[in-house]
Amino acid sequence: MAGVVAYGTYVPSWRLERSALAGGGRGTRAVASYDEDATSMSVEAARLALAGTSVDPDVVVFATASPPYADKTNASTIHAALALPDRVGAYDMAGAAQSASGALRLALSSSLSTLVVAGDVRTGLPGGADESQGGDAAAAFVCAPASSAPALAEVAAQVAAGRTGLPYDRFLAWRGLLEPEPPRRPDPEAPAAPVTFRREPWKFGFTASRCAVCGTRHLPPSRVCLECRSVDRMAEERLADARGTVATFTVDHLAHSPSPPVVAAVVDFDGGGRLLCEMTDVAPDDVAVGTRVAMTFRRLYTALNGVHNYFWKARPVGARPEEAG
Amino acid sequence: MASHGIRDRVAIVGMGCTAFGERFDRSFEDLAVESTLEAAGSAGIAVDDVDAFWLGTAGSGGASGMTLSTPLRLDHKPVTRTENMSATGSEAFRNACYAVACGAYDVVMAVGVEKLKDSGYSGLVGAPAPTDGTNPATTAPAVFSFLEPAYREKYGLDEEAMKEVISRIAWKNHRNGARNPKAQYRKEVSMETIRQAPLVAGNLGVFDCSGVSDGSAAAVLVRAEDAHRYTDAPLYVKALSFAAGPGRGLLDPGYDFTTFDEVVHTAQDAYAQAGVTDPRRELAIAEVHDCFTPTELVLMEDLGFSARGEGWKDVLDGTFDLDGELPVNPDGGLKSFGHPIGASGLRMLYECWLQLRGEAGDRQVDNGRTLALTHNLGGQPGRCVSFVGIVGRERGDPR
Repeated sequence: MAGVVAYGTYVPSWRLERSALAGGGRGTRAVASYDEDATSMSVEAARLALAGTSVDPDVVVFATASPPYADKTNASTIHAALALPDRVGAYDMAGAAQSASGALRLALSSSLSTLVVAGDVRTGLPGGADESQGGDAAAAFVCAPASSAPALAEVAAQVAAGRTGLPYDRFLAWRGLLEPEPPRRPDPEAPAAPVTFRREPWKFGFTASRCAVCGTRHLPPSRVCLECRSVDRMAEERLADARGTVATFTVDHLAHSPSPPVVAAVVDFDGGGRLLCEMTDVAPDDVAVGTRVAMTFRRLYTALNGVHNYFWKARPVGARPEEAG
Repeated sequence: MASHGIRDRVAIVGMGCTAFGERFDRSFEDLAVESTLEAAGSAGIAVDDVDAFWLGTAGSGGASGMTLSTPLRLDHKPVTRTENMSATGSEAFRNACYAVACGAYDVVMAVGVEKLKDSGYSGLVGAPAPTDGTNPATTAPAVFSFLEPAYREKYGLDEEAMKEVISRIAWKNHRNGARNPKAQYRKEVSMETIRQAPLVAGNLGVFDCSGVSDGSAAAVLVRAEDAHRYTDAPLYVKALSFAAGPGRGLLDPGYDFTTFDEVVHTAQDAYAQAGVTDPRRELAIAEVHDCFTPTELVLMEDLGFSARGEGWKDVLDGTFDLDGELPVNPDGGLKSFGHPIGASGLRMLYECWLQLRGEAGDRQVDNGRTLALTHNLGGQPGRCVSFVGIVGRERGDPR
């Protein structure tokens, strides 16, 4: 019989006041941002869970009632974003609310170390009970034969750290229940499968490279070193947990985005390397040169053919309770 | 290994340029026919007399050299199609020059054509290549807007002072464009209107951005010793320099977004080829890649017209105005003439052609100098290609 040896939760930062809902009410509900879904939130919860234990999972099970893909694996996206080894299995248990408790029960009766991740975006229709009583979040549990139960402290802190003031019409637009005027820009293309396959460690694992000869870091990974021109002397280096500083930034009113405007920044990483990327969970007025950032796994957009495009964005550090102090 | 250049071995003997703008009345083919006919006519030849063609287009009109040979109904002539982002037109010109210099052909033509407005989109649209979806969604104004706060902070200008500087550049280029019958925007715009315009990206307003447009321009090139068979007033090619950068600025935290390494490199190479030591006092005019107003500011320093950190003062002092010490973009530049990608490099050369021959009408510069510079840039700060070319009215000893 196994036990829970580590856990992590993810409550997105946005809160919608129930008084703004068609059905009214008191208090708030948690809302996944336009660039989040059950998969991306589950990645964030799982990152926290794995950071709290030295146990390496043998298998990942993803449970959700709102799978971004119904007939295509979501668990393997989580697996790739966590940069887990190929030998670790990744399975979906989707479509019913009890999938999560079922997954947890199986994990606890298993002799394997299991990472159970559960996430959901509960929206419903305007004025309905799901909209009012639902919420968006994810939780992850590392289950292993050796048991020492962790304390459940961070959930309350994440719940308390929400940002209110989300306009109801923006919430509806994020969920596809309201269609705003699109920009006069081309619809974004779906990522191509072969390119995604070749670049999986970068796109999902945020794995850069560092030159073994001169130490220069390259984002994305490069075969030829910028500084010493050494070829194929790179070591992989995952930077998902690296912190960085905004070197410069801009607010792009022209770029295509599910929720314009795009805030883009040039991020210089602690320990070297630079990346031009999008920012998230930030108002344009809250970013400055020198803002400290962490990386978060997000859904950039969904192409017209239904393919979700996931990648990493920078968000200000300190927005999450575990980063306080 | 060295860059030797081909100074005074090639001459421009004819040029043509269509009106730029939202040319919904013209196809890619129409624009190509019009610029090439005008260029051939100005050299006193027929298009059929041209031995080989270099066509620059960043992505219009389909594929292959047949995008030019078919509308011109060329009989079995070589057409090389080039692409080098916004420096595409200059790249067509550069390679055409080498073909003449090496003796492969007697008469060649460089043609730049771009048809951007048919898409109906705002701004520029990239070529759709399959990707892993990790490239940021940022647009051209956004990535060039990085120059504005970087320059401001490095040289101690506040936001208001910087807005005055970049607005002054837009004001100047609109003022010049108002005197150019082929420009996309032929209207002077007040400083107040420029300053108050809605923001596109960062602190860049609508008037800080160049015009997205349709257009075409072309040049006829021959060996320098043959030039006077075609015209009494040829331009001699003094320098051609091109650099494709490694993308350092987007990888290296040491890059501060106040310069283009690639431009500095090509400017120094071109000055060495042409024997120019003091560009601000030796050049009659300069046509530079003012895709956004802060770009023109930074270029004044990268091209050696202003000392580092002093470009903004020279802009405010009117150094680069039509009647200034070194007129920059007397035809209105990308800002006002418009920026049909593949045509822009040859459009810049067209203004040199008019100015150095005294044919620029209301905007004629008369400072007694005989050299002119074109500068073309493609990409973004930190990762770009750059071209610098110099042409002149007088022929020296070839090298």
